[in-house]
Amino acid sequence: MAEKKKLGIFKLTSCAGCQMRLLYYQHRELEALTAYDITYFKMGKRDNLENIKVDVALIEGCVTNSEQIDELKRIRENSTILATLGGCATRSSLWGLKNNKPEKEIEEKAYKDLSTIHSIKAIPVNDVVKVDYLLPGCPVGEDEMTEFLQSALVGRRPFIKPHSVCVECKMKGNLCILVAKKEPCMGPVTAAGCGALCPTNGRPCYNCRGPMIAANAPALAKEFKKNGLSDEEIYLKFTAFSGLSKVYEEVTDRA
Amino acid sequence: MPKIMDEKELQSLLGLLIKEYRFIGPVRKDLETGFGEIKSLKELVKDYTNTIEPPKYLFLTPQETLFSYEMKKEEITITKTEEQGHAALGDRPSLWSEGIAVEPLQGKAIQQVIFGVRPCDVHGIRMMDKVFKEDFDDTYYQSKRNKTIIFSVTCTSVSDYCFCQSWGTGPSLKDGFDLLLTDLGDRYLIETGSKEGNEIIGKMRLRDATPMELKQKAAVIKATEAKFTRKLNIKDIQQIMISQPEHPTWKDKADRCLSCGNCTSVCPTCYCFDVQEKGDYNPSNMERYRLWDSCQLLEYSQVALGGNFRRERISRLKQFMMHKLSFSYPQYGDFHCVGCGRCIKWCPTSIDLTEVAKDLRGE
Repeated sequence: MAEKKKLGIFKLTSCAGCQMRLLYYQHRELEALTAYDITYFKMGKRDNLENIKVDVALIEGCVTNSEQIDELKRIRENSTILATLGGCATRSSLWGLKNNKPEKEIEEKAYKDLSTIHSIKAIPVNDVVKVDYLLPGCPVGEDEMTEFLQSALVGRRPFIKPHSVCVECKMKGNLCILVAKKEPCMGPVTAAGCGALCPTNGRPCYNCRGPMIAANAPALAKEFKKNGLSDEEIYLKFTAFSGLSKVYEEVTDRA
Repeated sequence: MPKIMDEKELQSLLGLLIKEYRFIGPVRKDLETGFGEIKSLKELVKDYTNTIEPPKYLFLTPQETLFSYEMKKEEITITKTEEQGHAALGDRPSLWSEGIAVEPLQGKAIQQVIFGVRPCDVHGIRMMDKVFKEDFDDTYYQSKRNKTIIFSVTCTSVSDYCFCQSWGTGPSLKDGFDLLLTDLGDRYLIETGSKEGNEIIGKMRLRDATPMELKQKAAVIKATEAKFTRKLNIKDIQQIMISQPEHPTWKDKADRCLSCGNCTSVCPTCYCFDVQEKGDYNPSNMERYRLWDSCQLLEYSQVALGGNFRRERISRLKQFMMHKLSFSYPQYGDFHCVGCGRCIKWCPTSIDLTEVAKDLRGE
């Protein structure tokens, strides 16, 4: 038996839900966790090895203080393949909400004594180091995580879907709630990979996976407006999980 | 010879089909009607104009395993899907196995009946048959298609989106079906178009339709035809669609286009698919599968090193509309549009193919 590939799962600023996703993993967690030699996974095991070379590194969470930048650079140097695990690492997700306000204003809301707080803007991982694959989602999509973990085992390029959630929604034969019910579904501008989880259950997509490649944000915003959403509601829809993403710039730029 | 049946006889025929075949028919899907597997007659919806999805998903499955293989050093062993009975996908506990559309056929492809296929969709199936038979024999498509009985129903209602009349692909049907039902009000006229259809009807004792009743059918069709509001002028459409690639209507539509791919997913004649590999936690097990693709997606026309032939949204939109109304004719001898109007209805920003054709014609 050949030596197993080493996998490290690291956490920056996040809720740890994506790591939980790996533990609570529809009957497949044992397969996934035994296929690799896991060197670092604080949520999952007691003995963790820091500063050793790994074949695959998964990063959960975004950078919100400068020490994390050093940590991230160190992980990058020690890993062959580096991928983000979930929305926070991919595009700073919910943490990105604070990015359009002064840092001190945010700190004052959260802490009484600011003397030891050194927070910075929420920076996604791929703005700091080179990332090989982005696995977005809040939490990370299960099928996509499976695809990545299986492909990294054999050194194959994973199939990460760059298109819209609509494609997956239609493949499931769902009724389009954006058209039929005028619900504010973000599906047409959101990256696929979740299997259209929310629309399948009758709820509008809320963009937890962030923008798809080449999304047409202004056209959807216009449609939302026609359906009676206010400018503020539209702004929140486009910024909630994508921060101030360039793809949605035309809708979210308020300057 | 067309036969006549009453409500009770129709019920017993459908009941028989449900018992003997995998029965696909129109079922309620929230606010709309869509195709679904039917186990009891009560689930069947009668008052619908057309379904959300075209019946193509039954033959060109949204996602299906082509074959699986095992890699052991230099050696590769291939397992064909026929042997493993299309079950590989369903075995995986994943989100995919929950959707109706991706449900694999258990065992070998089984005999199925699709009831309530509208005439436009029957034409759609005819065009798809040509694509998956004439250019190359696609066994995955054919194995399911060959075991399917098409039970079509003549249209009596018309939606705002329907324009099949312009193509002559509806609201009535001359061939392409196994069974065709026409509602005459208090009776049904049933026609057969194949050996399989004859066998099914042959088991029942039905009387022949009188010339009067055939006239009645013509009257029903005429009444339906009078209801159409949407029209597409198909005169010289092949040239007109490609005559003005710089016309402002293209930019106007492309600004609204979301590139979401809904139009191609709901089109009964869109046949593009992508082929991908899938692994397993056991590194030697691999699987090749195919899944729907769409010309509206950026990655569709991407080649090695990131080159892309249709990087602009406008060129992707042109590809869809021009292929439907122009390129498909020299390619297959058919315009790959049947006038079902789904691409108009399910477009989140209501981009209208017929409107573009009108603008280009300068009407």
